[in-house]
Amino acid sequence: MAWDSSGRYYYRSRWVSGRPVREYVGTGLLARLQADLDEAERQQQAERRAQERDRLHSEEARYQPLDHQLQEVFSAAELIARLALLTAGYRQHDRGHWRRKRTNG
Amino acid sequence: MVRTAEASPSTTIERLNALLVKAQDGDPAATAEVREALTADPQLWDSLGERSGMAMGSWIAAVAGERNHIAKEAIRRHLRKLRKELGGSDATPLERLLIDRVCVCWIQVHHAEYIYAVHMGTMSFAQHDFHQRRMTQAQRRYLAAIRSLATVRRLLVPRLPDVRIDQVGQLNVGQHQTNGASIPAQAIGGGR
Repeated sequence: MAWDSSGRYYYRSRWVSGRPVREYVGTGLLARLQADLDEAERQQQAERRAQERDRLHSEEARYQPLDHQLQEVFSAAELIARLALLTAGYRQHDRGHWRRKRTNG
Repeated sequence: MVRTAEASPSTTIERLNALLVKAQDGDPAATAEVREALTADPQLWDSLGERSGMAMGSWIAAVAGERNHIAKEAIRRHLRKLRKELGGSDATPLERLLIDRVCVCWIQVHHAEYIYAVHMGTMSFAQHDFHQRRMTQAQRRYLAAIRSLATVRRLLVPRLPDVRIDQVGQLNVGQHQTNGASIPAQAIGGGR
């Protein structure tokens, strides 16, 4: 949404069937009022997006310590299980099944 | 009691992580060290159990609410039941650790699903996306935890041989077949 290079004619851009279309709005006082309204709407949209982002961040922050604590417990238990299987003579085949390691003789 | 030169849980985990890499490469010294750490270090199991307990407590409080003691107790009871069903009382320390992990993951799955269900109507697209990712991640962890427990049970926990009688009256102990007529009736639970 913009004024043309002379600053007299106000245009709006919008998407129609996936292509940008430039639309003439007008000139003079009416165009200026419309431009102010468009600007106010843009600011409101930006504020809404910022609020949305903050809400999401605070939600992520709320669950982050819990998820982190669980991840620690999860990883530690996985580590111990893997070590126990390794020391019992098993090897994991290609991140899949555990098989007993072949021994010669 | 005075504790001297005690390794912190995170240091122990780091050390074990380093040993895992070496043991995977077939280093016998690392394997021996791991075996020693797993069998001769009760503090390791204590600290791991403590961590699981703390995580469990935090998740119970998150699901039930900090002050809702009735809901907390209900969840604790359900977890006790789940633990019992998974064989918690006569399990090895490793099994207990893995059972605890299944329980914590179970709470996380239910928490993620509950939060999503309650707030679904008021969520933005980004919030839907965030919560669905959380649910998927929680379910993936839960299934991985169950899979690990099953693997350890199958490969490490000693079991009684699989005893069953087939349709032609043969007693199968593991992979060995025996004719039912040649064994005493008490051995297969009959002749009372």
